[in-house]
Formats: sequence, structure tokens, C-alpha cells
Amino acid sequence: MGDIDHHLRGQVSEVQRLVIQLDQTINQVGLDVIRVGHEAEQTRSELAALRTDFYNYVRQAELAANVQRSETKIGVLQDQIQHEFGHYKTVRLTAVGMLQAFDIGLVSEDTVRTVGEQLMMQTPRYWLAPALVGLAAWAGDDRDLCGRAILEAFRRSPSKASLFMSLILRRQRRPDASVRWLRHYLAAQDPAKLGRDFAVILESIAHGAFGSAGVELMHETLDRWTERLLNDENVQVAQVNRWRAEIDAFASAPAAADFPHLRNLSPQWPELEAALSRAQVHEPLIRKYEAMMAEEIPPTDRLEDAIDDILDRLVREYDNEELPLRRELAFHRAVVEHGGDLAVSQATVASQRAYDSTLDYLTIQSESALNPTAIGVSRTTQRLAVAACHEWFQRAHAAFTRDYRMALPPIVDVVFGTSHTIGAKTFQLPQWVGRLNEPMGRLEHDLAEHWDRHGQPFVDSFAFPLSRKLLWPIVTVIGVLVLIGVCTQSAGLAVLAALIAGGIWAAVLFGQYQTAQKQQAQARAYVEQSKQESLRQLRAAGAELTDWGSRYQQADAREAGVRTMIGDLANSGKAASPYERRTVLSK
Amino acid sequence: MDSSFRRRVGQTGNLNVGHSDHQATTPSPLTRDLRRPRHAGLIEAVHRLDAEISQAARGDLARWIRDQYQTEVGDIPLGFVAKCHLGPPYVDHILDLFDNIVDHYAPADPMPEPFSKARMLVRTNAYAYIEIYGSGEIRPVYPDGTVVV
Repeated sequence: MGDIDHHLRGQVSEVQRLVIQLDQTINQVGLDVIRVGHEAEQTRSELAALRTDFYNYVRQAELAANVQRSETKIGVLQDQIQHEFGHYKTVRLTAVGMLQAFDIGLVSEDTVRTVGEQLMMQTPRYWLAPALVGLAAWAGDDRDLCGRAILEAFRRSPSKASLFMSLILRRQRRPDASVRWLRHYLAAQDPAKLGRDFAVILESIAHGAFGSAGVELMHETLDRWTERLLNDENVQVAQVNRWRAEIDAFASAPAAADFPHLRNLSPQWPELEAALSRAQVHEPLIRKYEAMMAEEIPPTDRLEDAIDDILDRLVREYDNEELPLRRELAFHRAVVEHGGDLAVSQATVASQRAYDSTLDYLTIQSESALNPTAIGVSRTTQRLAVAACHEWFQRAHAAFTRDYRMALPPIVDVVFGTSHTIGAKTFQLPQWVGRLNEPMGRLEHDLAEHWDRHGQPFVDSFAFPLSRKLLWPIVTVIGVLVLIGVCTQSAGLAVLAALIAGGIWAAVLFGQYQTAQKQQAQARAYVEQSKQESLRQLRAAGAELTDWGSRYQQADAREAGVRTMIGDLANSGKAASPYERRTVLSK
Repeated sequence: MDSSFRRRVGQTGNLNVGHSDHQATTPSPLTRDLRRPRHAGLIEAVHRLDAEISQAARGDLARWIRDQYQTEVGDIPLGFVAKCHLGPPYVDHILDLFDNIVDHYAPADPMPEPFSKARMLVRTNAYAYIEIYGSGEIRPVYPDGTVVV
């Protein structure tokens, strides 16, 4: 009986030992799983970062390729323009050269005439060639030939020929004849469908090239046109939209890198980011336009030089056959300027109307202000055009400001989802949402509580279940006590045997308890570490929002500066239209 | 959302002009008129609307403002949203031109549509007040009378 009991006890002990060992192994496996999960998440994050880097690299390579392609294309297009229209260049150079030759009387009339006739034959269909023949005939006092030649130039391009003649007559100090041509020119114009060459009128006004009589005529005409066009709301809206596109183009690049936590945690980040990048528009706007207004542009000393510059523009900039190539060239230049971003370049070129073959008067003003190179006007004209467009600038800017201010989120949340940290992902932490306008202390307390509440079951799972563990040893000890007591009829022996059995159990349980404590401490440390990481992110997001707020307010406060500056622009133009400016170079 | 801070002054007016009546009878205004700067008297009257204690006086003032808008601008707003000068907890208020009501709001109080869209504009302190129209349009008015259309 004693042997059986001893054998049974041995078996039971062995089973218990195995159970305990299994228990410990399971707990260890639990912790190992968490550790492996942690490492897997870390690897996944690193992979995600690598993927982002790779995409960035691909994007950079794509942009660089775009720039390179456009640079090559610019060269090709310039060659093409030179190849297809290069022969016009000789005529253009000759036009101004011929006038200057008349001034100083160094070239014989025969030479002038020969050159004019040669160019007439070499450049068929070009309006300037017969105009040169006309000039040569004028110099040679051949009235009949002069008349026929000018008529042919007028037939080929009525507006350019009229402008050309008006400017030349003004240059030769024949104001009455000049104004007649100008009137002729204006009468044929539809203010809603002007040719691009009308920019020359603005240029001439800016330089006072038409003299007082011409300015008066322009004053009267442009006033009438403005009044007519302003009655059409669509025309006005188009101008405001054009200025709005100019303002939008100043929006700075997103500042996501400065606010990494806010970007990751706040669902309102896109609105915050958009508002900041738009609010930062005011300062560069002020810088650009103040610099433009402060710029000293030395006036030309002689009327002849001023008009020669304008004539040079007239003959160089406005030939519509070149427009498709010039438009393409503008696109590729925009690609280079925007670092290879095709979408932005397309949008930029699409918003520019300077390459349209016909434009309304107000659009010519706007384009002269915003895109002077494309429409071919000088800095002086640009300045006056900006002043003339101040109302649209003001309206576009006010609406731009209203829109981004209105889109500001009234409340900024932070969402700590299941994937905001590796710990949260490992423990499958339920989502927690906090509002950053509440005190940070309260938010930290709430988030910590959330972590404690949902991390505790995990920590508890490693606790040592004392009552459950004690049940079986107590039953065994009592069993041994009763069995030995009944079998041997000796209380002392029974107690001794029970103590030995209890002692073994106690030793085993104590070991088990210590292991469980250690594992629980490890689990608690994991949870605590993850909680601290979340709290750190919360504090960082709060700090970033404060930083965002001060940057936004500082940038937004410059809005009043832009309003004042636009008011100053209006005053610097002295009037709503540049034609009211004093005639600088009139005789 | 706690709306206990909301404070309403006034009551539904006995004026016979309802929103829908107004929308139905007013002809489409010229945009040029809509942009006409609001004159100083109008801006002052809108501010007085909030300070006016007597219901009858407020009704008279609201009627005058409506008339001014009708003649000057050609369109009458439903009401205005402006900064509230009562002090904490109130930050902004609605001045309803037709119901003749002044409603004050704390930051956490929800404001009814379409007025709520103007709240962030009020907080910038850049505008004298914000006009809210039945069409949903929001037109802020600068202290100098310039209006953003």
C-alpha cells in the first residue's frame, strides 16, 4: 500500500512539474510572441520608410528627366523659331536701322531703297517688308510708291501697319499725322477682341510716346472701352480669376516636415496645412510688388530712342504665326522653372492668356501686369498695368483670404488609432480621440488612463493565479495526511508526510510565482513604454499645434499689409488707367 | 455638445417679412451693387443692433438696415455674424435681420447653418461683421466698409 502511495505521489509530482513547466513555457511563448511582433512591426515600419524613400527617389528622377527633356526642347524650339521666322529678323533689324540711318544721314537713298526692295522679295507675306519700301520711298520723296507700299503693308496687317506708321510719324515729329493713324488704328479695334499688339499701345502710353494729342485720344477711347467692358460681369470675373491664379501661385510648399506628429495624428492636418501655406502668401506678395514699385527705371533721354524700343517690340513680339511655337516654348520654360513639375507648369501656362491671338482690353492690362515677358511689354508698362489692375488684385486677394480663413477647422483633434505606434499595434489598442483645444494635462491624463485600462488585461494575463494554484496542493496535502494517517495509524508520520508534500509544493509554487512576477513586470514595462511613447506623441502634437498657430497668425497678420500695399499701388498709378499718366517724353 | 451657454435676446419678430418672402420677391441684384462698400452708418447700425436692449428699438433698427441693404446693395442678408463683446464665455453672435433675434454663442456651442461657416472669419478680428445670405453666400465686411464678394 505504502509503495503504491509512494509511486502515485511520485507520478502526481511529475505531472505537476510538467504542468508547471508547460505553464512557464506558455507564458514565455506569450512574451516571445510580443517581442517578435514588436520586431516585425519595426521591420515593417523600416520597410515602409524605405518604400517612401524609393518613391521619393523615383519622383526626383522623374522631375530631373522632365527638366532635362524641357531644356533640350527649349533649344530645339528656339532653333525652330529661328529657322522658320529668322528671315523676318533681318527685316526687323533693318526697320529700326533704316530710321536711325535717316536720323544721321549716313546712308544714301539708293542703298536704302535697294535694301527695302530686296527684303520685299525675300520675305513674301510679311507686313513689314512693304512698310520698309514705303519708308525708303518716303526718304526718296517718291509719293506714289510710298502710298502703294504703305497700302500693301496695311493690307497685310492693318493694325500693325497703322501702329507702325503712327509711331514713325511721331518719331519724325509729325504729331497730327501720327494721331490720324492712331485714330485709324483705334477705330478698327474691338475692345473685346484686340490683337496682342495692342500691348504696344500700353507701352507707348507708359513712355509718353504719343504726345499730348495722342494721349487725349487714348484717354477718350480707353475710357469708353473700360466702361463698356466693366458692364460685362464675366470679363471682370475673368480678370479677378487671373489675379487669383497669380496669388495662388505664391502658396508655399506644404510644411508637413515641420509638423510630423500633427500630420500623423490629426484628421484636420490637410486643412491646417492648406491654411498655413495660403497664409504665407502675403509676405512674398508684399516683397514682389513693393520691389516692383520701388525699382528705379531710368527714363530714355530721347524720344527717338523710346520709340525705337517700342518699334522694336512691335516688329519682334506680335507675329501670330509664331504663337504656337512660343506657347510651347513658354511651357518648357515653365517646366524648367518649376523643377520638372508638369502639372504645375501646365496650370501656369493655361492661366496665362498672353499667347492667345485675341484678347480683350482688360486682359491685355492683366497680362501686361502679370506676364510682361510673354506679352512683350517693358517693366515701366508692367508697373502701370499693375496699378491699373489694383481693383481686381484687391478683390482676388480679399476672396483668397476669406476662403482660406473660412476653411480653418474650429477644432483640432488628435486620433491615437490602433496603428499610431508599434506598441498600440501589438496590443491592438482601441482608438482614442482627444481635442487639442483642451488643456494638455487633461489630455495626457485621459490618454494614460486609456492605456492603463486597455493594457491592464494584458498585464493581468501574466499574474500568478494563487487561489487556483493553491487548491490542488491543499487537496493533495490533506489527502496525504488522511491516507498516511489511516494507513499507518500514526498522526506524527502523517503530519511529517503532509509537511514534506506541502514543502515540495510550496517550493515549486514559489518558483512559479517568481517567474510569473518577472514576466508580468516585463509585460507591464512593455505597456508602460508604449504608453509613454503615445504620451510623448501627444505632447509633441500639442507643441506642434502651438507652433503652427503662431506661424499661421504671424503670416495671416500680413494680410492687412497686402491691402495697404494694393492701395498704394492704386495711388502710384495716379489713376485707374495708365493713359492718365503725365506724358514724359512729349515734345 | 453643451449649449447651456447660449444666450438668446429677443423673440420672433412680428415683422411680416419672412426669409422665403424675401427670397421670392427680391430681383437678382447687380454684382456691381453687391460690391458697393457698406457705408459707416450701416456698419454702426449693425453694431448697435447687438447693443440695443429694447425689442421695439431693435425691430426699428433691423427694418432700417433692411431698407438700406435693399436700396444700396439690392440684396438683403438673412443676418450677420459678428464678434460678441459681452465677454466670456461668449465669443460671437448672430444678428438675425428677419426674426429680429440676437443669439450669443460660446466657442463650444454649435451655431446653426448657414451662419456657422462664418465663425472662423469672426475669430480673425479682421472684419467688422460677416453678412450671411439665403443663397448661402458669405460676404465679410472690413471695418472700412469694403465687402468681399
